[in-house]
Amino acid sequence: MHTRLILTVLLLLTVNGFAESPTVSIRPPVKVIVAAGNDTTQLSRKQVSDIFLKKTLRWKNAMSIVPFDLKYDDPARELFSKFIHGRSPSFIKKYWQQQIFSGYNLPPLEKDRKEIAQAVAAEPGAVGYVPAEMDLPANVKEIEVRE
Amino acid sequence: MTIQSKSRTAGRCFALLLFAFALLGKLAFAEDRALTIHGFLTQAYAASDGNTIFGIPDEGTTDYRNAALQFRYSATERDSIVLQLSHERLGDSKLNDFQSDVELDWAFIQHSFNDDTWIKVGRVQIPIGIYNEVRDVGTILPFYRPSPNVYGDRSYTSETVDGAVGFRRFFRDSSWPVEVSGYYGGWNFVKDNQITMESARIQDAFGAQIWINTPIEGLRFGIHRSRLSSKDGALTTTSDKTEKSNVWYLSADANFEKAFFRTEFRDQGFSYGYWRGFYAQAGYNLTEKIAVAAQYDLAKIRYDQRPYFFANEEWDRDVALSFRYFFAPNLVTRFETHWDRGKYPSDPIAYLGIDKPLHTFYFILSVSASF
Repeated sequence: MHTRLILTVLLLLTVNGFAESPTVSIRPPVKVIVAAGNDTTQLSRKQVSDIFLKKTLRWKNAMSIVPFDLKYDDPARELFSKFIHGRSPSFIKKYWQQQIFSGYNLPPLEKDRKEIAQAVAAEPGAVGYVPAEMDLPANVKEIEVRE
Repeated sequence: MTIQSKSRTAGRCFALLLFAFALLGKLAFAEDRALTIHGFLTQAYAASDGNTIFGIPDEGTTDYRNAALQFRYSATERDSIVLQLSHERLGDSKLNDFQSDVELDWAFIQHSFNDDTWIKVGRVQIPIGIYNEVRDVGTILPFYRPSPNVYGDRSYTSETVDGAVGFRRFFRDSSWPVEVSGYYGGWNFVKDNQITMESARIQDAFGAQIWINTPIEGLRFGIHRSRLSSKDGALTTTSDKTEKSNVWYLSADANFEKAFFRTEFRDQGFSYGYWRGFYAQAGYNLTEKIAVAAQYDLAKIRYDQRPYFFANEEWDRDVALSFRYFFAPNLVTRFETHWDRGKYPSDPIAYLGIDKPLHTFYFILSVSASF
């Protein structure tokens, strides 16, 4: 009985583990933006998370990714962090302390909400985010975030 | 001025310099961040109820701190040079005699082949378990130090290897990503026979750490295996032979937004016996600023190299509680208490008379900052 139960749980975990992720478009509480010339039109939430945690360093065309974060105290950063990473900004900050002092990597550069669109526009491989209500200049575009 | 007080003054200067850097705030030089500087500092006051343990005397000490300054130069997007200088004081511990005021913590060249593969060459942190690479970073540790029974307290263990470390991530897009690190090289350590301490070196070591992540974000399991070789009796009580040692670590790490649970087991085998360490710790974030944690820590030893040394017993058992207040994610104060029953007193003279475990209560009040 116990063996069956364990096997069933393991099977369920495995099926869940290797299932294809659904690709349902979702409405994030922020706009994820790239330079207007960037070919990318959509990313999954996991891909955005990996980019901002610097687990993914290159776009599909091999161009380097340069993520920009909003300042720590910007309310939109909390919305982004909880929606994309499923974690609070303070939790992510501790993740970066671990990354820095174990010598792995550095966190994304921080910009305030007035600078970030400009910074993304100036760097072909850049990606950032702005509050959902913010209007975008012509030289950046919003990308779709899918589940 | 004595050598020791000069040493303390130099150490304090380093710590003050570091603190000044921290107050200056962001030290990332230039927007392109070719050169960045980061650092951390933990300053503590610690006291015990009688026995000196981990350098903590009964009269208390403020000579208890660690600090580091890290320089990272990104030559290209794939290549970096990283150097970290450190300073550490351990109160009355004899281990202080084996480290200078400012030490080269690590220095390495890193090359990334792609998103999932990199190599580091130089003096590099050894990927062992949850805490080995961040043993001193007070802002992210629930206690002043990771479990001494599993990670050692600067004796017999090492944070770094003079050699190379490689990393590869597998199954990135699955729900079960696997991360594999391997290392090869050697390191210096302090050989502590409880009666004398001396410098020794592991000549030839290699090992691997595997982390298996799970579909539950924040939950992962790890296994580490390494094999160490030494000459001149570095791993034995006498100095007469080459010794090999096999090391296993098993880890479970559940790290969530509100709570964490971690447990690790270390088994180190020698030709004359073994050391087995275990700890379990759990923590809960009462609010974003207040966190509490508890830890149970245990070690057993069997070592038979009579007539020089014989032990077959529980070496240490420690129960600890900690309370942390976060002024910010990178500025935290921590108060922790430990009830220890074992044979860790760091005064070798005192140890000579010990045939029963000592009961020691000690506390550490510390402030940690990083930038």
